[in-house]
Amino acid sequence: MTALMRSMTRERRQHPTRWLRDLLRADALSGGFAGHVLPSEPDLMLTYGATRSTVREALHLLAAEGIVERLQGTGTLVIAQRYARRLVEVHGVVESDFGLFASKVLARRPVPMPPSVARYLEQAPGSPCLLLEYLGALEGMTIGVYTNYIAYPEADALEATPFDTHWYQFLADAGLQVGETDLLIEALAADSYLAELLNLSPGDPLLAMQQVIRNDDGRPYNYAILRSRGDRLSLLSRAGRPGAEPIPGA
Amino acid sequence: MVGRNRRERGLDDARRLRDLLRAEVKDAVFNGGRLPSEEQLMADYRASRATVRSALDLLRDEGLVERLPGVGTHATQEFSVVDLGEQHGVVDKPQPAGLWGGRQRPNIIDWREVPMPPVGAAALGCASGIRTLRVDYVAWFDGAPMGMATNYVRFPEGERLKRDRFVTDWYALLESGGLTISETTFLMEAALSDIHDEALLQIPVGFPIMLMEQVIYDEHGSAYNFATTRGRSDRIATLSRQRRSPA
Repeated sequence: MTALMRSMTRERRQHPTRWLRDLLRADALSGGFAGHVLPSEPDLMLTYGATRSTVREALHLLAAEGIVERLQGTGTLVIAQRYARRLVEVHGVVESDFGLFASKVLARRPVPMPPSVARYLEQAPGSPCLLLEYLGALEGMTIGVYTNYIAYPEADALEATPFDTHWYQFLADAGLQVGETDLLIEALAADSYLAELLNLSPGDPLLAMQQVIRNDDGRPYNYAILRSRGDRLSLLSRAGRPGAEPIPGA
Repeated sequence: MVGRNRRERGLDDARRLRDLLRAEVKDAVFNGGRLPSEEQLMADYRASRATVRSALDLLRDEGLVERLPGVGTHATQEFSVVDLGEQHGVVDKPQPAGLWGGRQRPNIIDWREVPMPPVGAAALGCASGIRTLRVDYVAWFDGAPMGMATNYVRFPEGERLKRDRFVTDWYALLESGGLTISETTFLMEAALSDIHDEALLQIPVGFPIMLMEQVIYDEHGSAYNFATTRGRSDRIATLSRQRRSPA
C-alpha cells in the first residue's frame, strides 16, 4: 500500500469524526443543548449512529477548541459563548441598541493619512486625518481592538466628542451619518501584540474586518481595521434574491 | 485614555502599519505583488526603518509575503475577494471570473442518504431523523482547495439532486435539480484549523479559517438545506456592502 493510499484510508475513517464535530459544534454554539450539558456518550452514539471512538474523538476536538469541557463523572459541558451580531448592525445601517457596548480609547490624534487609507477615502496621501483606536467591550467583556482613520472635516467633530459607548453612537453624537459601509471579512490569527491587548494567546483566531464608511452623499470618510475575538463574536448574515419576499421569523 | 509607554507605542505603530500593508498586499495594488522598497514605505507611511521592518516581519510570519535579501518583498499568493451576495447564492449573474462563475470544482467525499441530525432539524424546522441527503465535498478553485462543506438536504428536495450533475458549485447543483434559492442565512465565525482541515484543505493545524453555517430557503420560505462550511481565509475574503434604507 502506498503512502497516499494509507493516508486516504486514514482520512476516510476520520470523516465521521469531522461530521460529528461540525454538528455538535453548531448545536453547542446555538444553545441547542438543554442546560449546556451534552448528552452522554451512549446517547450521542445512538442519536448520530456513531461509534464510541468517533464520539470521543469529536468531543476531544471540541474540547481542544475550547467549545466544551469534559468533566469526569459529570459529562460534557458547553463552555463557549458567541455573541452572534447581525451583519447589518455591524454595517451601522439599521437602528440598533448600543446599550451593552463600552469602549476605551487607546489613541486619538491627528496623523498624515497613510497611502492605503487615502486610496479608500479618495484623498491625497499625507493629508491630515484623525487616528482613533479603541478597545471595544460587550457586556463588560473585551471583544476587540478597532483602529479608525477619519478624514477631515468629519474628524473635527470627533476630536472633542466624548466616546465611551459604541462607534456608531459616537458618530451620531458627533452629527455624522452612516449612509453606506463596506466590510471585507476574514479570519486571522492574533499576533503577540493583539494577543496582549485582547487577553488572548498568540495564534488565537480573530474575526477580522476592514471597513469603509460613507455618508448619505456617498463620500467615504472613515476607514477602519477591526479585529474582534473569534471566540466571542460571530456574524449573522441573511440575503434574499432581489424581489423575493422576506422569510417571516427566519 | 489608557497609558501606553514608549515601547508599547512603538509596537502599536508596527501593528498599525502591518494592518495597512496587509490590506495593500491583499488588494494587490503593488505591481505584480511586489511591495515598494523599505525606503519607499518609510517615506509613504512616515515610519521609521525599524517600524517598517517590524511590520514586514509580521506579514512574513503570517505567510502573506516573502522577503528576499537584495530582491525585496513579494506577496506569496493569489487572493480572491468574494461578494457576499454571490456567496449567499442570491445573485442572478455571478461574476464569470468569480467563485460562482463556473470555475469551481467539487471533490465529492461523501454522497448518501442519512437521518436528519438534530441541529439540522432545528435549523430547517423539520423532525430529526427524516430522510436527508448528505453531500460532503472539498471545493477546488484555480488548482487549490479553498474550502469544504457538508450539506444536509431534506427529502423530497434531496432526492432531486443527482451526483453526476455536481460539476461546478453547489448552487448550480441545486438549480440542476430544479430547487430554488430564495433566501439564505450565514452564521460566520473565525476559528483555527485542526487535523482534518490540514488533510483536506492542505493547510497547517492552527491556521485561521472561516466557518459558516448556512440555511437555504425556497420561494415559499421553507428551509430545505443546512450546511456547515470551513474555508481558507488566506485565499478568500468576503466583501459585504450595505446601504441605509431610505426612512
